[in-house]
This record gives sequence, structure tokens and C-alpha cells, in this order.
Amino acid sequence: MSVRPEVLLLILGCMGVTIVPRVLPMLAAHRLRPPAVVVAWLGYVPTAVISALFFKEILLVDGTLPGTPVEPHLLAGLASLAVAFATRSIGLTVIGGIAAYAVLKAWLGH
Amino acid sequence: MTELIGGFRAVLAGARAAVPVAIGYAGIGFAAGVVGAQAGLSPAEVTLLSLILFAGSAQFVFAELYVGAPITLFVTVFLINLRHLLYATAFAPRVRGIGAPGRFWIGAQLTDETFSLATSLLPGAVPSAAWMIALQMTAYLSWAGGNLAGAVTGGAAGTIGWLGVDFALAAMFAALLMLQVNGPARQRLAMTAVAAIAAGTMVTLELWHPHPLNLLVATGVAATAGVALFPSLARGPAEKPA
Repeated sequence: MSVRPEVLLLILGCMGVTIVPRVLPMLAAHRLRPPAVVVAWLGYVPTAVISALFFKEILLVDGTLPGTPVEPHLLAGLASLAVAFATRSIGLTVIGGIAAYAVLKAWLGH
Repeated sequence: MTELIGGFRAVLAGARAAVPVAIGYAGIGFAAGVVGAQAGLSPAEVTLLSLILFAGSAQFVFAELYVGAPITLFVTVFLINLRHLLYATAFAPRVRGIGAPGRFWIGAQLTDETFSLATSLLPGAVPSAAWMIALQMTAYLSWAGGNLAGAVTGGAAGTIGWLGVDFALAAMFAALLMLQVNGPARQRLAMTAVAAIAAGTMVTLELWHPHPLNLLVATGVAATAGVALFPSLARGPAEKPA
């Protein structure tokens, strides 16, 4: 359980370049009054990020499109969407999605 | 005293809201810890990395690049994490009522998942700094714990069947997507279009060349398309912040 000084320095350097973009806009929150078009653009950011991450996760397996739609990620993803649509509950969707994924994985033998 | 109880309630509510992220982070954090250990990092270094950096894709990159030139590592990590600039800018209007230390803390712990979750759960401003920090701390500790466990057990554990836990974040994103597509019909149409363009761009980019920057590009393309395709929604003062 040792920490090499050079590794610690590298970690701190990475923190430096990471924390600036994370924190700067938050600290300037009071001064930021962007025009309506920028506000609208930023308003699309969460939806875009969520959708990009979700579909990457369920469509791509090991970086490629699987040859068949009978695939645990895709089917469990569609099941999750269905549960989310029906219940509008994050908790139930996560439970349903995990269960669907586990069952499909065992059943399809992946 | 009532203030104290109110604060405690906010902490509990924030921590509870973070549970889906915490489950997913424990599983993926474990995998990241295994990768770090296999790259020659000690369990203490892996844990410090996640406590200090707290950025999943950047940690995978760190494990890959830390033996090379530091400048390559720093530039790559900077570019990968540049998307947080977008998140923090989009999130800033929701924390105007919070003091500078609270805003600093909230910004420092923003991730793809905590940003997505909080913007989907909240119609507007963050209810309190305590709520948001509790949400993020829960995710943070789960991530760091997963990293430590993965690094300690390392290769010995091999690939543990996570009983579908590695699907937790995907399932959460399905729910968040449904929560995002709301409001008047035109707004729903715009959000659906943005979601479809983001997904199409992301999957195309990943098939062509997998890279952590693809998320930033796909997000930028989709948001720009949203503004261009629905100019009426991008005008006027009645625009909602998210």
C-alpha cells in the first residue's frame, strides 16, 4: 500500500486540468447571463448526454454492433425504457433493468 | 435546531436519490480498480486517483498513460474532461442561491451521471447545497470504494459476475431519458430529436473510432441541431433552464 511521489504528482496534475472546467462556470454562476439561444443550447445538453450514453451502452457490445438483435444489452435496454415509460420511476427502472439483464444474460448464455 | 433537522433531511434525500448511481459506480468502479492494478498502480494509488480525480474515463486513461510523457497525460485528461465545462455551465443557473464554497464543491464532483440525474430530477434550482452534495458524496464514496475493492482483489478475483449490476447505469439512463422528454408537445418533439441525433452521432463515432471525446462531440452536434431545428424554442425569455 504505497504511493510513489511521481504518481501522486501526476494525479495532482490531472486533478488540476480537470477541476478548472468543472468549477469555473460554477464560481461565475452569478455573472453568467448567457443569451437565450445559448441557454436553449445548454438546455439540450442533459438530454443529449443521457441519450448518447444510453444508446452506446445498449447498441454496442465490445465496440461493435452485435450481429443479432437477440442480445442482453439491447433487450434489457428496451425493457428498461418500457418500465421507465410505464412507471416514470428511476428506482423501479433500475431494478427492472438489472433483473432483465441478469435473466437475459443467463438465458442467452453470454 | 429546525434548520439542523431540515439539513439532515436534505442529506438523506440527496443520498437516497443517488442510489441508482451508487449501485452502478460500485460495479464499474470495481472494474476500473482492476484495470488500475493490472496497469501497475498500487491499491493506495488507485484509491487516491479516484478520490482526487473522480472521473471514470480519465482514470482508465491515467492507467494507460501514466508511464509515458506527463504532458500527453495532462492534455488527454484535460480534453476528455472538457465536457464538464458544458455540464457546469448548464448547471450553474441552478446553484445561484448557493454560496461560493458550496458551488465549488458541487462543481468539483460533477460527473456524467450526477449531472444527468440531478438535471432530470429537478425542475429548476437545486433545493439546497446539502441535497446536492449528499447526492454527489454518495456517488463519490461508492466509486472510490469500488475502486479500492477492485484494486485489492485485482486479477485474483477475475471477472466477477456482477449479477447484472453493470447494467445499473444503462437502466438509470433509460429512466432519465423518459424524464427528460417532457413539457409541451413541441418541447417533447425537440427533446426527442436531440436524443435521436445524439444517439446516432455517438454510435456512429464509436463504430468509426472509439474515443472518450466522442461524447463531447455528439452532445455538441445534437444541441446545435436542436437549436437550429427548433428556432422558436430558442427564442424568448420564457425559456426554461433545462
